[in-house]
Amino acid sequence: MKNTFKIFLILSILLPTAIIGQTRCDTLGAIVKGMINDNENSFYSNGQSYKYFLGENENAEIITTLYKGTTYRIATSAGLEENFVIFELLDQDRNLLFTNTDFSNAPYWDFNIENTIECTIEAKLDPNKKIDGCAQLIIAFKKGN
Amino acid sequence: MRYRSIYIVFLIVFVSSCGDFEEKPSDNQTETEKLEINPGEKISLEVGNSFFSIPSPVQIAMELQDGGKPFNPELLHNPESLENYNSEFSKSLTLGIYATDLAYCAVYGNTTQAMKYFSSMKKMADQLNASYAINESLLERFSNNMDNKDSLLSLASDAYLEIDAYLKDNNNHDVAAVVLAGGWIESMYLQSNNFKSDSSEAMQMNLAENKYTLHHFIKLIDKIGTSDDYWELKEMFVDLNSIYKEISSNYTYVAPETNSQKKTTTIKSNSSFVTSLEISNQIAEEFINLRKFYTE
Repeated sequence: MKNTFKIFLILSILLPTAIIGQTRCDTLGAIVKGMINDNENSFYSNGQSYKYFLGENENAEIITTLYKGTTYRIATSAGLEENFVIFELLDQDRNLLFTNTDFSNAPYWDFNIENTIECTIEAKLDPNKKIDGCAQLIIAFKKGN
Repeated sequence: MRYRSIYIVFLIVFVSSCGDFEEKPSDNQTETEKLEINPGEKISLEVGNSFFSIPSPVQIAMELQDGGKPFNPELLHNPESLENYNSEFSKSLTLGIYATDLAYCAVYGNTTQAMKYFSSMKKMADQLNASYAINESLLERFSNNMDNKDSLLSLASDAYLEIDAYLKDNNNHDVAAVVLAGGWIESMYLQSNNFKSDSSEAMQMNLAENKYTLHHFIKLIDKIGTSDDYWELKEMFVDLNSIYKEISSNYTYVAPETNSQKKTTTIKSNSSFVTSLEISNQIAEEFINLRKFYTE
């Protein structure tokens, strides 16, 4: 009986902490979705969720085709601070087309595409800001440049 | 016994915590903590750190509208045909087909039809135990914004995103991939039918540019396939790929231009596809047959 009480007590302290942690991870979707619309632009999500758990020095990659005549917005989040995620856009020959490290780890960036190309988006956590955790990325688009 | 109980408590808490994220801890954070998080995420990591992105059905429908193609309701799948599908695979694929038909109707402003497809998507998502993805709030927003095309398009994209996120969050990566495949097959079916009435160079290019996407799907199915249904679909994609292989593509890097104030980079690299009317006809025919195979 005494043991049961102890278990209940420990659970009542620790479970809410765990659940809050999970909720924070789940809310990344809402944060990145908030980035695909602003006063001047209205982007549509491409309908796919790119959520991953990144460890130290671990990368996630998204291989995608970017279509000509379209503007894409790539938005990322790994928590409440905007600059946790480093992302790069590479072409099919691994030439670097963009890195957000040049712009203080900007959480989102727009890309006007002149010709249809195959690209890789690489994302990782900035080791100076966060060691591991959930991260989410959204690719959104609008027609015309 | 006492230690076992405490161990069980910590195990429960640990399992509940999987997926949590932490900001940069002090340098002394224990290695044990990191090692403990990873096993719970193993399934996600196996599939999750390498993604293939598929063009949105909304985007493909917009291409058709921008190209001046008229709305053709006869191309759409019957929204009442839910009962024809029994397996998880066929339901998932049909859910993707409905998502594309919804996008097509929304882009052309056919709101009554769009509502039918949204309703069918909801029913199919329920059958796939993904009813949480299309919840009452999304349904309400959909009903309230029927007359606003931009909102409708946004909601069509959101519905697709919610389903994809829900399935992936629950480690149903195989189902999520089939939903995407269904959506893409339907998009290509619409493009192929439009190609039949307009075989212009622009329409040929639209088909050719999906070369990479097909390649992504073959790799994706290889990675997440779980039954013969997947291998059958893969076989059909491989057949299609043998035609796509005849399309050559060239790529030349050109330095991009960035406008930091507008937070915009223009990607100027050149790419081209060399295709022909004959190859385009074969591709269109294959996509039409592929869609028939799964819907008739």
